[in-house]
Amino acid sequence: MTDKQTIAERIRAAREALGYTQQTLAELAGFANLQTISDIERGQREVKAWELVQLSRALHTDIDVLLGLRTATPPIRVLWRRGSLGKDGRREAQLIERARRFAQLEQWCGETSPSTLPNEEFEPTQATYRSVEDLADRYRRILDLGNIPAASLLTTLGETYGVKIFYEPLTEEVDGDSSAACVRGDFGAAVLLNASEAPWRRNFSLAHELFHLITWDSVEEAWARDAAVGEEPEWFEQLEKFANAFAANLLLPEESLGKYMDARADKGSIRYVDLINLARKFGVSTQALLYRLAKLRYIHQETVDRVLEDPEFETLDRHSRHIHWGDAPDTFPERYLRLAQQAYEREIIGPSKLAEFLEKPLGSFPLPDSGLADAAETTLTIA
Amino acid sequence: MRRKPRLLLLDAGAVIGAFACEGWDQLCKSYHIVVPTIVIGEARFYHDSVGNQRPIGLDHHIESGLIERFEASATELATTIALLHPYIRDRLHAGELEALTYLRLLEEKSGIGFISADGAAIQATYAFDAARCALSLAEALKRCGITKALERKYCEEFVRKHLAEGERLLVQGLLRVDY
Repeated sequence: MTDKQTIAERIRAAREALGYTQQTLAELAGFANLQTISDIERGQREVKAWELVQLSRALHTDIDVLLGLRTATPPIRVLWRRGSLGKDGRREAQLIERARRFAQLEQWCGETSPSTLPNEEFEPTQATYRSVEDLADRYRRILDLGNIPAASLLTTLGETYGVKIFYEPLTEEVDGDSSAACVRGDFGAAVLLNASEAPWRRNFSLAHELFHLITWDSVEEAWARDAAVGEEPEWFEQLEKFANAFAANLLLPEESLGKYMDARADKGSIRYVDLINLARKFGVSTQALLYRLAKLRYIHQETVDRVLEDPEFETLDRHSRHIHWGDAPDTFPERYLRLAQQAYEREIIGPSKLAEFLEKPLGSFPLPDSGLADAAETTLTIA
Repeated sequence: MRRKPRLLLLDAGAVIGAFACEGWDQLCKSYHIVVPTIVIGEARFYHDSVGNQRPIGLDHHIESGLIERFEASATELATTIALLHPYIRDRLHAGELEALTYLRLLEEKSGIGFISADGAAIQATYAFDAARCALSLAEALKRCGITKALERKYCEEFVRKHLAEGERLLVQGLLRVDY
């Protein structure tokens, strides 16, 4: 049976898991002062149902968990690109909450993905760059990414492998200096990308996170073996370098890049504008392209360093960025929105639940036509 | 003076529908309207007949005594949720669960009706022996003398479909955990 004390303990545990102070929780839940939270956590105040809803939103937790009716799932490690300084747990909790909702929509609509992302054996202390590059080559073939992998990576991971990819404009205040994150859990694989970044940087981040997702179980085991709770193992920095090498190799295949460069080899040089266009064509930054060309020995590393410091190159590159940047992506991937609409049209969920899943106030967006339920359920025979 | 029949607006969709079809004032004249606190917080905007977004502002109606607010405690809400089968529970919004708590706590259900724009919420009322109180917005307005062509989720056909589904779930043991 749920009582004040159970609720008090659950709220405190959920708050502490996110690293919030009582003051932070009071602010995020819209309470006038921290005394309310303090009283609730000491079991000295009866919580109203609407207050519980405010708290569950701020804590990114289901009300059933706060009521003690559902067991809180054990903490899941979210891997952040480039360290974790300055973060509290809100982005991680939000990512996991959204991924669980996504999985719930898949289940309601009977639309699980055709394939699951594999889990590769990987020992971080023994891996080499060569083995990571081989892994990238293999995955380009497994995922059938073709000659320009960036063009299809997002769709392939989202639609074929059911990777749940969300976007947020990440900020230094909340997210430290991280630019992306990923996690595997009961909901499958999920990735958070920075909506404020350039599309080519997001492509690289996604490829980087893919490395972590396909080596997830092995790395988790090694992490538990090599690091104390709450700390990073010594090899974490090297793991991040491996993930970058994987991303560069996946997005810039030696063969297709080689064909392009060999065609220009007889001229003995390549123009700045061609380099920039090549980077846009492969959906990567000019920096990533130049480093890769140096790695493949098409350009000397000193030349790369000089080009990257040349103001003329920087100006030309910036101009190209303006043309190709495009709009920032929405928080939710298209597949998530499609499933939410389907669940509503089939009357599996109502308007309020739809608004909750879209994280928008009801009445602030046009509802899909509710008169389509019968049409949505009409079947035809497959030959 | 005859007392007005009670009418529970079970979810924000019901409130929004009443405003959008310009039936709100008439409903308030003809019924004693009850709205759960969470639903009040959710029902903030509606789109008028020409598509403009307009504020609802139910707090003002409560302050003036025009409608009644129902405020459940978290422990009362917990009892409601604990009785529901996960199959139906996961599809319900917290505002609907608070409304179901109101129906659960009512000892006498003969003098009350409820409106919902959510099929799952209508189905769930079977769990608390309140399905017979279901009304469509169209029917509630008709009883006040207003006939309007409304969206499917506000019509009798929608209510009947989900009552039938709720009955089926009850029989299959997918509504309450103790059945």
